[in-house]
Amino acid sequence: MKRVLTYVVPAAAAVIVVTIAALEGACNNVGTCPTTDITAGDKCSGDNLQCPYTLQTPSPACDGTMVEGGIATSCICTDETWVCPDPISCDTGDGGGDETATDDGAADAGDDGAGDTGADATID
Amino acid sequence: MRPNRGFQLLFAALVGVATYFLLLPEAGAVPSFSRKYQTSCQTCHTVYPALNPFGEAFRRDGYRFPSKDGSLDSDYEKAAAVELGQEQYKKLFPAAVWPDKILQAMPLSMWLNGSVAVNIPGSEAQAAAGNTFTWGGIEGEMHFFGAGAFNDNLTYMSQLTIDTEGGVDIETAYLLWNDIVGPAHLFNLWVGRLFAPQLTSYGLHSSYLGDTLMPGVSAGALYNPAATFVLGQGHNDGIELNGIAGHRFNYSLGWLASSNSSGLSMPNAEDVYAHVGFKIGGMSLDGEGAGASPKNAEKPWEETSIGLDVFGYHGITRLDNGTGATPTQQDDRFDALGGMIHAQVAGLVAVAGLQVEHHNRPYAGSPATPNPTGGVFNGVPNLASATAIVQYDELEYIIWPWFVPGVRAEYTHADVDGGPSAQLFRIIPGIALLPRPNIRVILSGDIEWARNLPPAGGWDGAGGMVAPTTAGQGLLQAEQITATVGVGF
Repeated sequence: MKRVLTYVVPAAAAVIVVTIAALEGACNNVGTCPTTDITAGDKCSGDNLQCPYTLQTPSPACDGTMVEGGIATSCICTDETWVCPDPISCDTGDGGGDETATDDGAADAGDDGAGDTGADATID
Repeated sequence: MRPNRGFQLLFAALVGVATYFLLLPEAGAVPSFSRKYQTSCQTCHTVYPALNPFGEAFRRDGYRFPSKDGSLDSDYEKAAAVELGQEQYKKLFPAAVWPDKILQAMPLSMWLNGSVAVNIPGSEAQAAAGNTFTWGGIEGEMHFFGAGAFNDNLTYMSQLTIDTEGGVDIETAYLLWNDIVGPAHLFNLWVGRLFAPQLTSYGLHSSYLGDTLMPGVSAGALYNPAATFVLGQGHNDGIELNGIAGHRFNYSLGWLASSNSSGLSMPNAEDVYAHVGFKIGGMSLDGEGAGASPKNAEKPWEETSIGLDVFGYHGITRLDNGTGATPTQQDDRFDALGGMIHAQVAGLVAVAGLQVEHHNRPYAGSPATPNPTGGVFNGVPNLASATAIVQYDELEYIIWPWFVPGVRAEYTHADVDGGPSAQLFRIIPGIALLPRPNIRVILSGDIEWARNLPPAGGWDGAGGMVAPTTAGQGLLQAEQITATVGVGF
């Protein structure tokens, strides 16, 4: 009886408590994709939830046209914020976004203006 | 298809292999439990690892001999032990550490196993292997077992596996705390890397013709090759509360670590399961009470009984959905329900089981596409759900304890989002042989029929190789004849 009281009961109680506490926190926040279109930077819920996203972007040919229908890609919920790929930037020397699943959400929102858009002037 | 001469010669070679083992001198060495109790493998096994009714009771009792007339497991132990503390310390507790014991000799045993196959000419098996026969694989794995008891309530089981590629895996390592409180066998707590979650009343490997009694089908892998979880296949980290009531009813409740694809973090432990079962006739589940002894002592494997098990399982698996340049997380939540009937009349054993597994997000997505300005655009995830149904049957007759012919069948049905479902049916006829108590040879065939392929592109997840090429049209194909060899000592 002493063995039961001093060893088994506390152990059983600990198992039950840990089980309840762990089950409360054990469930993974899988999340659900929104029914409306995602907007980059909006709030989201779900650990690393990845949802379809149509990227409206200039054509890679940079001919002034847009990719018809957009590019089918995806956004990932990172730190409760939708992180989505950047459109292709046609500014010289400045690339567009190349989001991957491991991106921490610090990607540029667009052109930062670092490149010249006009021809360089040379002075003879 | 008429077998060609080469095939006939190869088949004769396999028969020769079996004959060679029959003529081997007695190995003269025994595994961990045989050493502990100084008894033969046949005390618990027929063709190992298939367990006889006493062996199943021993396993359910937490690797302890069933009690007879108030006996304890230690009453049957014959191996010398080293006492870890004096018996008097029990009276001094908690001022002293509760005493225990370990065996004087390390309770180790080894099991070597492998297989060779004749890939039927013209089959997918031959196309995949690139050959009809090779001796490669005759030695596939080396297992080290360590098992025993620290006292009459606390036992342990461990298993280290090394494969031919040099991979080392701690397959099993757990403590079994038996008879915690109340009537014998009612409350047991097993903790560690479990041999298998007890979703049925029978041992993981209690099949004569399959590696495991429950089919080794990964429902998730039918939709995504990155999925690896297989229901009931064991070697999971976690904790299980189980017990036997009234000698004839048993239950188990478990909480396990969830699974993840390579390159992704492990999710919170969300895998839980519950199982109940009962057995009528034959030896009782705990080998005690009215059904403690076999009716025929000369044929202890024989009995007349029927058992029924039902289980439920909930879990989550973290998959790489293949949409990125690096592993991309997609958490797939799933639920499974299943059951099994195990019936026996004398030496005729019949098993039938059914399991339904519903997955929330098992599909792989579209692959990433190059970004002209560098890197990639991630692909699009496929968040459709899916359901797979697996039905299995096994029928064998224990003619002699070393000669057991039988046949096993497995049927897998996978529904497909936006398309026709896919089905695979496997027939595995075979003979399980025990040339010596610790040497086994299993000769088996693999005949497969399939209609359509699952979304993953192949039937690997269900152990199948047949690949029908015409949508909606079934394909029947004989794949292999396999000799599986095992030696334990």
